[in-house]
Amino acid sequence: MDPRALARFRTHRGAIVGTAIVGSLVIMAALGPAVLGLDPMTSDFTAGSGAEGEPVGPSAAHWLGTDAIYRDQLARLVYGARLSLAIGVAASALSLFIGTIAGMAAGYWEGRTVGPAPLRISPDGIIMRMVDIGLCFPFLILVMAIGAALDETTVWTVLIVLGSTSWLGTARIVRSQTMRVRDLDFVTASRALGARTPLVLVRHVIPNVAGTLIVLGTISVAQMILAESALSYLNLGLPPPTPSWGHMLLEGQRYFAGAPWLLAAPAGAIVLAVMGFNLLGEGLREALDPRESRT
Amino acid sequence: MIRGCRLRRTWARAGMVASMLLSAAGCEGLQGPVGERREGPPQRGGTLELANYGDVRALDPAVSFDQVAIPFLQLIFTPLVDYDKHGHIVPLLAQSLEMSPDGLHYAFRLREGVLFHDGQELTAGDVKRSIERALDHETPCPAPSFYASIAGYEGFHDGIKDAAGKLVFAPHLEGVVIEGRYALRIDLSEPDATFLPALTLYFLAPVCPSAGSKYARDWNNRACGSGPFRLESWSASREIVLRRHDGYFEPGLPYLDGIRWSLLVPPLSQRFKFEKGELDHLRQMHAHDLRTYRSDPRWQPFGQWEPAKGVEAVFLNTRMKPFDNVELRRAFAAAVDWKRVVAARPDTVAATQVLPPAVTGHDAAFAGQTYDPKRALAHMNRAGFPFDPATGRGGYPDPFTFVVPTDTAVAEAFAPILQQQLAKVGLRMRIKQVSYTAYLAETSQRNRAALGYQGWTMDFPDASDFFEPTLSSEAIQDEESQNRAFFSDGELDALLKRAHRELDPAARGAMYKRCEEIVRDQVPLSIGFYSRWYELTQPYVHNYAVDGKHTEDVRAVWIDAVVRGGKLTALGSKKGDRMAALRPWGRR
Repeated sequence: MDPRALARFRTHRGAIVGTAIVGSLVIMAALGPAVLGLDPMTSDFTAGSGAEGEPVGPSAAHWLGTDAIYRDQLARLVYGARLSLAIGVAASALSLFIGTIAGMAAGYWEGRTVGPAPLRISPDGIIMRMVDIGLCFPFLILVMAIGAALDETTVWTVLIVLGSTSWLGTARIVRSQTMRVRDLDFVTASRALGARTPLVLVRHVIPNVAGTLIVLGTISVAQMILAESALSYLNLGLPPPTPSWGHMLLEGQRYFAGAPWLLAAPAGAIVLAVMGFNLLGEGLREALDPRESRT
Repeated sequence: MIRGCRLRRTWARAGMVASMLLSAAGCEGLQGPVGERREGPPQRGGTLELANYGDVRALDPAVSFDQVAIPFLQLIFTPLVDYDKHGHIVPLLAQSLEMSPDGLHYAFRLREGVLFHDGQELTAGDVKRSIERALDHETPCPAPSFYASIAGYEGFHDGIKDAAGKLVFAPHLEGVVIEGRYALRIDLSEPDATFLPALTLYFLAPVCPSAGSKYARDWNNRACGSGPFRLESWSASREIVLRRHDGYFEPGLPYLDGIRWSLLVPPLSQRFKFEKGELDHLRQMHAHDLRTYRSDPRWQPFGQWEPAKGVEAVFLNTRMKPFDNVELRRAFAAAVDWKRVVAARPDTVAATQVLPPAVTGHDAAFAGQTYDPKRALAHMNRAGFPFDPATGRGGYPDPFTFVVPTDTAVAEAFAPILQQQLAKVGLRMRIKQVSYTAYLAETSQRNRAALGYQGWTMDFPDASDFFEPTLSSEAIQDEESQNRAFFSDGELDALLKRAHRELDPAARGAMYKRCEEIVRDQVPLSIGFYSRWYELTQPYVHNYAVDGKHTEDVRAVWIDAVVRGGKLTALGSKKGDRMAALRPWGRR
């Protein structure tokens, strides 16, 4: 990173808070399960419960209590963090990858047609119309419809559904950035010296849109975590007993009056994670492109 | 300065949000009952306020047969016979009932002077007309086969092909014979032990002459019978109002002036309305609310469990791998500790047999499927899939899928525990949650689901109603099979056929006991639990009794107007309780 950008990042309060939150989440997700040593999918029937079978409250054995079927709430939260982060990051990466390819192709060939004479097509026109159509559907509704249509939901299907439906906005931004870079003098010079399109894209366009991509990717992780939680909350995500924050929220909601910790823990985790990634993305944007941030 | 103001505003907003969250989280606590129960003679008058989360689709007894509608049918219509509180069938609309020794003829003597809601007198002709209206081949009656033993049913309902191959239907049901203005005989083509239990249902209950002799869809909104209450108004998906039928034949009944039944009220709203005294009875509540009420000594005297009327289980498809192997099915049954599975739900009781306690034939001493992990491992061994719990090696190599309707206690609470228990004997189960429609489609098709949830609620409290629709070979169909285990056992089929005709209760009981043994040993079902309802009434609601046959039976309920009106306050009650008790009832 440019030393000036790094300096700007270090002095941005939000960026520091965001980094701390995201760092803590990553450490919790990576080391938490091993440190806790509790299986998030196994019920502890020895934890004791009332005569009516109510969830067990916080204790030395279960710091955040147990859920309705006596599984350790903290272990589920930690395991849920691993899942949410993995899905968030991987789906964002997929979304960024598709969005970047589509956006660069559309932006680079904007105003041009390719192919033999009678069948000449405009790649930009085709890609952008696809984007327009995709953006007509509210993102979550689209994800829910695909989620409901899937016969069986796994981590891979959730990841692919989220990644493959969220690239539309990225493609638009990358297209406009590519169009800007494409007409810069040094790119024109490079083409005049015989550089082929792939080389121009890799050597000149990608480095110039990388900052935007980093910011987009970071903010996208927050959106993906939220989307995955929404899917799980609506029972369209991973099936039980896999712990996911959204599903824990749904379970906790049913017991909110008598066991508020079941609701508070996943809700707090989702809010923190989303806030952390948003703050981090904001800080990165400020650091990498201060002029645009100010405007 | 401006910054400080903003900060204060931010904190104020945060405080507001926090207080809203705290109040939403129920930190205010549970309100006590409205008033205090006083004993005394029944009082007449008042409107009972009830609510249901479901909606009523039809109030025509010939076609209506769902859990939401039955309490309404119970109030508007009167069948010839009914169950008493001890589970015996007794005449209701009929004054007397005689069965011939061969079980082929039933003679009913009707009560004289019984009036329909429209004021017309009910006669034997109305009974015959109502029976023929319900069993007509054009009436979409959901269970006409319950009455297939009535002589002439085939010609009347199914039709008989004439020489030209055209279906011809008899104009009347020959087995229903009018023998006088108040006398009626029903002839059966063969002895049928389920005939009288099926007659307690509302399909054949007499309907007013305005209903005509043919089913008409629009009569729904004018439902008219001879029950203790008449339909006053029905606002679709909002509320149904019933008013006292002054010509009701049972002396003194009903006590209430009317009943207002709100529809589509979510359980949480019902709870808060009940606490505020806006509802007089609460039945549909979340498991947590149920625990809260049961653990509150103020509410304990006003709660009661309705006996379980159904059984819930896991079906193991006997025609599909891996459960075509009986030893694997036995391993499954022995590996599951249902007592532990249902421990977290107070509204469930672990089951030992197909028949729930409310049904004659349930034997509390019956040794059913039992949890025994060692035996489960032995069965795994015999099935050819030995499993070593110490190393986790062995067991059935492929995971199998458990199909369960989403957003149910079975999916959320029970399935994950089943999964844990089965893993201990080498059976690896995946949970597949699907919508209820998808669940029905998937589990009722041949060769589609190896394992899934199965629940069955009785139509009438007779053993035949549990075994025949869910476990007989006749219940197997390629699509929409009620026998989801696709279980076919010659001995069981023969027993069910014999028991259906057997009129001696002791002999029938022995046959159904043998059926229970077959299910226990062959394991088409891992019999799970009985679900039951916890019902609460306000202290001023009297005579609300639960039994194994009726649901939300308020026919004899009366209201203590003094307590309900707020003139009597619970002694030593808290401020909140007094406020609730003193609330004027004028808004009703």
